[in-house]
Amino acid sequence: MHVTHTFSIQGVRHAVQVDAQEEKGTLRVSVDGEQALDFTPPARNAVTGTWLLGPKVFRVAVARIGSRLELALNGQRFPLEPSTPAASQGSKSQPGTRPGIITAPMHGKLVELCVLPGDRVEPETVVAVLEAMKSRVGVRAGQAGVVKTVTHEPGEQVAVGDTLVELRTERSG
Amino acid sequence: MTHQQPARAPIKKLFIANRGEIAVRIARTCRHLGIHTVAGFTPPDAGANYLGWMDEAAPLGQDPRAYLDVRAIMDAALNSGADAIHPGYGFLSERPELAAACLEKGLIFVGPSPDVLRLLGDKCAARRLARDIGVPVVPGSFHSVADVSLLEEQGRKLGPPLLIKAAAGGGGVGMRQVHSPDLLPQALEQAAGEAVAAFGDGSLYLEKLLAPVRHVEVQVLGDRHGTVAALGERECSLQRRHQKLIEESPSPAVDQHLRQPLSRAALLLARAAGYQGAGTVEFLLTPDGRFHFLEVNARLQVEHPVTEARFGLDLVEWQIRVAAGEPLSPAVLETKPRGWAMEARIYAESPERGFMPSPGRIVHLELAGGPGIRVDSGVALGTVVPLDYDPILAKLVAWAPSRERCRKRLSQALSETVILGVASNAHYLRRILDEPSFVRGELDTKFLERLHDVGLPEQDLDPPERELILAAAAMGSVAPRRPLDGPPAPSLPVPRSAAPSAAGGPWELLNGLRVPE
Repeated sequence: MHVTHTFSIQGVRHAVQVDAQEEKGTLRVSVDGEQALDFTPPARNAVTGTWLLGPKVFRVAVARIGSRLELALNGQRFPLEPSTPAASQGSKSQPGTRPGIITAPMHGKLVELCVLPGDRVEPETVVAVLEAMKSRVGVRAGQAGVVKTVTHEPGEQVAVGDTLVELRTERSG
Repeated sequence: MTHQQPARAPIKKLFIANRGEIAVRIARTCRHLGIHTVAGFTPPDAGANYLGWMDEAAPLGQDPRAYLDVRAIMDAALNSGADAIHPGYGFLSERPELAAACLEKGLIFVGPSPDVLRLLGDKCAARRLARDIGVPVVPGSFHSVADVSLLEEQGRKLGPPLLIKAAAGGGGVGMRQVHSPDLLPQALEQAAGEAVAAFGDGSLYLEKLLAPVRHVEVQVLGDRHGTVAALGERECSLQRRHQKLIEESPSPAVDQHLRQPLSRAALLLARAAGYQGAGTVEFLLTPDGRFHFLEVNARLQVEHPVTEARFGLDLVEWQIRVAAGEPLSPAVLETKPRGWAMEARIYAESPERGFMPSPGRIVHLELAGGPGIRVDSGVALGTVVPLDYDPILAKLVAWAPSRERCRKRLSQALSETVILGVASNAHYLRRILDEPSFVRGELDTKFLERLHDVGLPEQDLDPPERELILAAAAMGSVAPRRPLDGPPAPSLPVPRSAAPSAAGGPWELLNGLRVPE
């Protein structure tokens, strides 16, 4: 009885296999089929807390925010891209880049819309400027195409992932 | 300067026209002094943890920008029965309008008089004042103008590299660097446009762009009886987009021979301006060991705790005391600094994603402690960090007898700091502290730019850390959701047995999650 998960850390995808060692109360962990290590988690039901590897201690904090997983080890955060076993195959497109759709990379106020329908954009073109926490962030098109529609007015609040601009790309026609 | 306020008026109730960590900072001192506090708050801050530090909280209306609204602040302050207003930093702290409104309504403004704020808020007027009393000034204009052709002429005389600044500016808005004379006209047009859009005033002035340069500032404190104290310097060269990240006192570049004229220049300026309260005189320090006046920040600075750590003073207490008419005591005037202090600002931003601001809910929080460590924070577990305001979450301040021990303490404190739910720059700050050039104290305002060009070394992830992270991630993916984690995420397949009410944990989950081989 074990579970296999796939995660990307620092751009590298790893498969991790975790087996519960009931009698010892440890977790046997093997990454990419390499030699397994036996960790003692904080408690049977906890992930956040102090983990042991033999006598060696590790401070771990894990939180799930929406579909995202945040994790800190000894005070350092590691952004993780979870991929469930089912989703781990063939998902080549990066999160947030759908053909023809430019989305907001963060929550904030749309302070400037730099393109109009009919404008031609290149991947480097800044199509909009968002403002949050006294910072302004330019949103790049990330792809080439011709602006089909703009979906928000300057001054509106947008949420992360909201569509800002729709393009006619070479592929989407 | 004339003071229409009574010479001595004990403050019984203080209105805090600010939010977050600085509101907590001010409230802490008020508790010590037995002063009742009331903080105004906007809708995004309703129910915020920091308000729990106050005795009272007063809504400022429906507008999230009400911290910038003199009228909203004055109405709330007068309604609350407060006899004084502390503006903190940012927002209305340097606006003569609030200080003047206080004067008119008989409230004590914890800060300089409206006249002083007006004088020092006009950056060119402050430059003229410095020049006239013989304090070296960054070469450049002494009058701001909206006439681009006049500025072009000035710019040609000064020669590149130049810095264009908005007369009404601040925080880098409307600021532009010009490295070639050909690009000056275009840059002036753009800066004027930006300044009009941001401040409704297209007036600009020019400064010679000095580089490499250190940013060194002197803390001053003036009472209403003409006495001004200089409380050492702070080095604030570590900046990213005009936002300070790490500050320290003393400056590694200032020795006794430099400290004396630097402090004297700051005192001369403060006295000439008739300065009352806590303020900061900013200088640029060039490699030839000469300093050049930049501007005065007529308020409490974010980084004031490093001065407090070395001088053993509570600057907020002294702001309140001098505002109430008390003279500076020998305790302030004769205190001698000890050791070294450093501050790191923890922002809700993501260094991995181009320092993108990261509002959200804090779902896990561990803050540092121990000898020589001070944490000024306005957040707690569960705090929602709104997107409307400054991204500062907390300030970590370390004190130690020497710079190297101070640096290590701060680094250690940063490693103890864990924040999940919003991104933070804590680890990035730690990597800066560990940079060899930082260790050697070789700082200038381009330090972070250079670092980004080279790129901070990516820490290799080897066993057993790699194994542990992945195991914890795997367990975290299937572990029962704590209520704090927010609404359930439909995109993540959580087995039925993972519901919070389920008796089991990851163990049982693992058993229930047999993966066919």
